[in-house]
Amino acid sequence: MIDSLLSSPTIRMLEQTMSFTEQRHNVLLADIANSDVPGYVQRDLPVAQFQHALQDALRRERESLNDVYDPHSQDAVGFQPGGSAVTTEAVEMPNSVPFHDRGVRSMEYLMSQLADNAMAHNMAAQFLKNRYDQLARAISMKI
Amino acid sequence: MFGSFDISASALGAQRVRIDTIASNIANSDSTVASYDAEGKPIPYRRLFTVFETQRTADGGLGGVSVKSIQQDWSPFREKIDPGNPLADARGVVKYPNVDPFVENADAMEAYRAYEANITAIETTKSMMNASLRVLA
Repeated sequence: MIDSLLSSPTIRMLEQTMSFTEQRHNVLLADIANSDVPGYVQRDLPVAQFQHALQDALRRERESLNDVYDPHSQDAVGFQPGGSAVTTEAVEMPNSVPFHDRGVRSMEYLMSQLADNAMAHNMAAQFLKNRYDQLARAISMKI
Repeated sequence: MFGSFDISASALGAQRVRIDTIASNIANSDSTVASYDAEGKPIPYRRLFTVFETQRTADGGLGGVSVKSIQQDWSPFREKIDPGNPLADARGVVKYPNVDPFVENADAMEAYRAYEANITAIETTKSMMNASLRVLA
C-alpha cells in the first residue's frame, strides 16, 4: 500500500504543477507591474508545452510502472524540478494590437490568467495535501 | 515566492509616485508663476509626467518596475487673453500651465486601476502562499 502511495506519479505531478504555477505567477506579476512601462511586451510561460511535458512524463510513468522508481533518473519525470525545460518567452497576444508605444499588454487577459493560474496552484496544493494526509493515515495504520 | 511581493510592491510604489505627480499637476494647473527666466519674466508651472522602467534581477530575469525619471512636458503653455492681469504681456496674453484637467484625470484613473490590479495580485499571492503552507501544516 505504502509502496504504491510513495511511487505514485501523482505526488510528483502535483509538485511539478505547483512549481510551474509559482513560476508563472511571478511572470504574470511582472507583466502586471510593468503594464505602464513604454514598449513593454508582456511575457508568459508556455502552458501548453508544460502540459505536454507532464502528459509525456505520466505516460512514461505508466509504461514503466513495474520498474523500480529512481528519483534521480532523467526519465522519471519529463523535466527537472524548477522547470528548466520550460523557459519564459514573450508571447504575442491573440488579436493583440500594440499600443502607440509599441508595447503589447492586456490587463483583462493578465488578471484572468492570474486568477486561472492561482486556482490551478491552489487545486494542486489541495490535492497534494490530501495525498500527504492519505500517506500519513497509511503510516499511522488507520487506513 | 516571497519575491512575488517585491514585484507587486515595486509597482505600488511606482504608481504612487505617478499619482503624486498627477496631484501636483492638478494642484498647479493655474500656477502662472513657477519660476522666472533670465529677463525676470514669470514662467508658468510646466506639467510633469513619470517614466517607468523594468527592473531586472541579478540573473537578468524579470523583476518589478521603478520610476526612471520625472520629466517635464514641453508642450506649449495655454494662453488666455486677460489685459488687466499684471502678468499679461504686450499682447494682453497671460500664459498658463500646460496642464489639461481631463488628461490628468484620465491618467489618475489609469494609475488608480493599475494600483488596484497590483493589490489584487498581492491578494492572489497571499492565497497561493497560504495554499502552499497548508500542504506543510
